Amino acid sequence: MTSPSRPPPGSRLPSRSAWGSVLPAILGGSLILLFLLPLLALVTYAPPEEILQEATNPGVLASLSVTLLASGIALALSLALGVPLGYLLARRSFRGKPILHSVVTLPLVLPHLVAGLAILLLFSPASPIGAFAVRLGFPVFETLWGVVLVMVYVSASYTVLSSELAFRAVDASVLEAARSLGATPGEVTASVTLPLAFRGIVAGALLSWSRAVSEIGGFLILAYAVYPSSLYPGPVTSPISVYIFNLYQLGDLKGAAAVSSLLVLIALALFLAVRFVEGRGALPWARGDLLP
Amino acid sequence: MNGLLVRGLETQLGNFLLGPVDFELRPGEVLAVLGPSGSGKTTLLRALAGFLPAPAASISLDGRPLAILPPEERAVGYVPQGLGLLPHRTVLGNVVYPLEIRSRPDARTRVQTLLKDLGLDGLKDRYPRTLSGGERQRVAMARALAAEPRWLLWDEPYAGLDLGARDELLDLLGSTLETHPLPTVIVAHEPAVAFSLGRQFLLLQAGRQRFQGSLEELRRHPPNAFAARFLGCQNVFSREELERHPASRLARELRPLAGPEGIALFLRDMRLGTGEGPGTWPFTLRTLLPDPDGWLLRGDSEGLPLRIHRPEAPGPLPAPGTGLRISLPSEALLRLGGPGATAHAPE
Repeated sequence: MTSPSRPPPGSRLPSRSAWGSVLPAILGGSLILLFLLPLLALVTYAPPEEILQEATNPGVLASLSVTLLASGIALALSLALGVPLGYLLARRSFRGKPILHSVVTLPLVLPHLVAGLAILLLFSPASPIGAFAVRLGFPVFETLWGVVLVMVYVSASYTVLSSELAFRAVDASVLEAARSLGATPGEVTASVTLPLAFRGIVAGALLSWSRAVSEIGGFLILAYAVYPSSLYPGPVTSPISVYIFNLYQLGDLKGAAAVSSLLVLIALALFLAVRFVEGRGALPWARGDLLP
Repeated sequence: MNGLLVRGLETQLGNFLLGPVDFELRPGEVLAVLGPSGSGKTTLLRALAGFLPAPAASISLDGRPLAILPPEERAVGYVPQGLGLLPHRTVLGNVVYPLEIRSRPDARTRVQTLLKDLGLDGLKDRYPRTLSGGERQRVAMARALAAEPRWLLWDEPYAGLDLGARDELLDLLGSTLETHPLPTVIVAHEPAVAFSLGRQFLLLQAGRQRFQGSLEELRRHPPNAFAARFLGCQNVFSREELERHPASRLARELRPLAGPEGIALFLRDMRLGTGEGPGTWPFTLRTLLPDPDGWLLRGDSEGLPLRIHRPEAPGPLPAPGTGLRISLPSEALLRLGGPGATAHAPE
């Protein structure tokens, strides 16, 4: 007996579910190949021993340290400043909100060389703000702080917009119910809003971090070289993207591929670690139950 | 006064204005808030719970003013539309939430008792998304009661439940209100829910309070077409609609009897027959539809559309197109919107 959900034998029409999954799988699969094949070409170009050698090269380590340190600070700043802004955009109505939205989106559409130039003009030691920053001990031009500033500028929008979406997705009736059950607005934020928006905020933070590490345009203007400053004792180096670009410019394609592979592996390890921690529910604020 | 007293509650949500709303409820009394969609029922509950500003309102519970307090200090068991369960917490985590907030040492014992009373013991480790509609309602009820509220606000209880689950929960809420005699306000879309729980009724229309009183008063003085339909009338005519059928003798007879909001004819009291005589009107049958205890006959009286109930009875059913006669005893007619609700039947 033929199952009613299947087309009759001999039917020339493929079932709807076949069309519904085969076509997207072919199209989507092509894109996945486009993502993966260049990476495969990259990580197989330099032999593993060269990748290992680069991992112990002091020049690469200095560049990686500067990049990871700066991206960590930039991420912390993006979260500290961006999540509250995302909350305001999601939960409050105020005059000028559409304009604020445009301002938040602006760094995403601006060529990053232009962003670097703009930051340079504002923070160059010759400008009043730049001179003030130097006096405060935060010189920007060709320092770690410059790298952080560029990173925040080009990446924090992802944190803001993802947080906004995440806060917007929290059902207002859930928040009202929590308040009527005796929770103050602060307690509702800590026990309901943040846990529910947590995944969206983490997703935005990951995007921000990735964007910050992959930045190069702004660095070419503002932080091509990174000189020692308050947070970075030296030696003189450059952000990893600039370092790889320099190797490529000098014709060391194997070296550029090896350092790039190292960066890919670090990024992959971080992404897997976040997924693992998230999947196990090991972050205390991602859990809901305080009683067993 | 013991109980809930609300006077002059007015609030605004965007361009929508609600109020003034006035009512009072004694402990254990249930007020069913009725009204068409968009009439302000949910807005009223949110204003009572403290989520919308109502600066001119006087709200007091057992003589204690509430209107100046933030939502978390109003001691209200508020169950919003959609229930507002915390999706990241289990059933136990949801029910214990209000006690955790207050750092109550007896939280565990109290919650275990509530879970047992409401039949949720076996579900305590489940997340809301894995529960059925009825189970979710019970969790919302348990959580609201865990907070030891002094009054209850419930927006659309039993929304989206099948009839069996609804009746089961109606019984459960009824018995819970007997054990916890609190002033309770519910938004009710279904007459079955409103009439089984409500002892007082408040009817809203476009943000205005059109009625507040008992079921008997509502039956005697239905303020508008919505109230008549909620009471079970299927033939409701505005004055304009009666005017639009000048050829209908019945419409002409009903016109002077109609109140400011029109007139309603109760199905169950309309009689169907064939004999001509005083007090009877022509009825042309168009379609027959089965209903739970007989047939619903749809047709018109010289153009005025009518629905008539015919109980299940032996004998052939009239065919569509058949000319019949109907009679209207005085109890079948209800004036809408004016004093002295029951009209006299036309002779």
